[in-house]
Amino acid sequence: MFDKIFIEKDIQNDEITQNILKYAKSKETVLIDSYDSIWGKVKKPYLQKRTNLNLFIARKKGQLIKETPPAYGHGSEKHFYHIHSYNCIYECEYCYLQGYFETPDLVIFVNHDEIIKEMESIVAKHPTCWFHAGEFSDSLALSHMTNELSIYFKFFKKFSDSKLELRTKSTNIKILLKESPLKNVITTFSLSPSSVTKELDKKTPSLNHKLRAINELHKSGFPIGIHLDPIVYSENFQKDYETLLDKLAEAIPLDLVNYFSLGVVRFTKDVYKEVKRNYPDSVIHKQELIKGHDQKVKYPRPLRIWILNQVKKMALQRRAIKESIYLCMENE
Amino acid sequence: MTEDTPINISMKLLIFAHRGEAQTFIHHLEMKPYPMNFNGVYKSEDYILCITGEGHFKALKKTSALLGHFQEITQILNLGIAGSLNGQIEIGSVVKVRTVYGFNSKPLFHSYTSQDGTVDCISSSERVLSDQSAQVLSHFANIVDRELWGMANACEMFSLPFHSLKYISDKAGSSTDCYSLKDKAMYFSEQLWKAFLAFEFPLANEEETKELITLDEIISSDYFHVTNSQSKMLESLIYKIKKRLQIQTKDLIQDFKDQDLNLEKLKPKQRTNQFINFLKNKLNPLRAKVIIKLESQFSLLRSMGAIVHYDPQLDKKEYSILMKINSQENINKLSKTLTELSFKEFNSTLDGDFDV
Repeated sequence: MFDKIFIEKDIQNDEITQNILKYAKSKETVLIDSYDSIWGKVKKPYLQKRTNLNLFIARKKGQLIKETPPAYGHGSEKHFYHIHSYNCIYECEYCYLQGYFETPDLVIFVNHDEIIKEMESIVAKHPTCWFHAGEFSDSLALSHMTNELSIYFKFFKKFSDSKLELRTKSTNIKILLKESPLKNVITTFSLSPSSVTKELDKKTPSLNHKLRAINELHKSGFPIGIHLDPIVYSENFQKDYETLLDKLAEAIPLDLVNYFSLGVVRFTKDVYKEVKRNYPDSVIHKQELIKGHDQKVKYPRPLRIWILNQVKKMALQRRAIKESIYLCMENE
Repeated sequence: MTEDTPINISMKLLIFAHRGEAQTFIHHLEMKPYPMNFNGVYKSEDYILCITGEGHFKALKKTSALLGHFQEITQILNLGIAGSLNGQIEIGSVVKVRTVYGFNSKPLFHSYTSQDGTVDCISSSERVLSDQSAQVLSHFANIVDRELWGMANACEMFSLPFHSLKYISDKAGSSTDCYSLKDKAMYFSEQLWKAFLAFEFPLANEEETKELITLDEIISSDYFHVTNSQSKMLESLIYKIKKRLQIQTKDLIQDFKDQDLNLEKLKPKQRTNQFINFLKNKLNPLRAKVIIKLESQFSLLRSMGAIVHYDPQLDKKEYSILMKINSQENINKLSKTLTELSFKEFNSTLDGDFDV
């Protein structure tokens, strides 16, 4: 699976490290002093993740939790994201990670105890705040290896006014299902129509598999959120999203979905440069993209809002609750 | 240059670190020394060969000088030996380098990626003579050389693609014996020559070659007059339309002519502008609908001779109106039209309120 595994010496005997090593296969394992003496020190092309992906097991230093940008997340509470990992095993053509880090190599941080401590001090100031896992990595894709979910469930059981979002494109719910559902821990799935999943969300499970996982979690009482983001426009866009929402409604009644976030495909200038370099023939480039006044590369405003309104309308027609739908990063 | 000397418009540059590695090439390609301000440059009809010496700096310096001097160079190929940094690459094999990293007492941030290749290489500023040094380098790549990073750096500066073929001569580290490697130079050179032949003359690819998109049929016709910037825009639009809608250029032109636009009355340059708009609408029909709706809102103003300008990106919710006033009648007409103009309608159009 991995080309090399680098382990920081100080945490080589950590329980989580040992658990990761039970599952992660590699050609070589190397002990190092600090992951940041190697990771990101040279510019490693993003697509080398296909053949030469390295894994670093490390302790996160510095800031462990950060506040999210405005217009991020549902509701008016404060939103934060915690950093448990860098990079992702999947390869989505629009992913902003390709322009965010200088390397696609994966880092898994094992110091969850320190993250929890920092969460405690934030909750003391903002008792109803949200924490998001999955800003720089998928929350569940490697959860069988990292095995940290129980630590977070324990915390959020105690601090039941604050909320945790586990954001994923995976169907790796085995470890999650071992926990007792909490209404303030919401598992959210990023979904795209079947054809888009196949074409753009490389290496992620199929839409049907994701829907099956949603159904299983829902039946077991786990709260579910849905991200229809990023929406990539195509000629069949309306039909594709109608089919997607019909299928989703079979997996979970839409009025029982905690929240929907809708967003159209958008990039920072640097990420778009990488997307063009890595995927010059992607369908993403087929529709007109403009550089907006906020310097983001995105669809022209009328198209953007029209797309969002169309999908919102489709969701409402299928009994989604109006208040549960929000437009991600579209704060105008 | 005599009258009989053909001017070669495309040449390849072969870069070696050592003369020993290059000797077979100089012989087989019948290369003659070429006078430059430094030694080690050879030339034949199709190739320029340069022996740079070891290290990033020498490779960067000489490659840059040659790329500046010979503007007909379109491709650069580095050939040489490299050491294996771990057991993953077999000694005695020839590999194509994918990405080259640099190391000069610490990792150098910039990396360069070749046109093809499967193995990553790190160019070290110093010879790798200890296992400890080899281990540090192995964190970044599987093989090590001395010159490729410098050469690739120069190629990037000139926006030219590069390739690199490496013969894996030994394992880098304490077992490296530079004298023994020098003795085997002839053998390495022959192995590199074989790899070069396979690289230069691959078996014919039976796959159908894709149709190249040219603008010749547009640019060369009298029907259009295409400026440089229009040419770039047309190229991009036609490429996207071909890819997305699978329509050929000649069919696009026919569709354009079939529209009822009084094209014959327009000047060739105006026709080109119309054609660009036509292509934009073809490519982005939704945008076209927004424009039609906006234009209908401003049609009265335009018919009075006013110039209405709104954000071409359709992002900013504002517009400006410019009109020459030369009579009271102008003022009266304008003020009546402005009273009837609805900003709400403009606003909602930009918020996606249009029929599909």
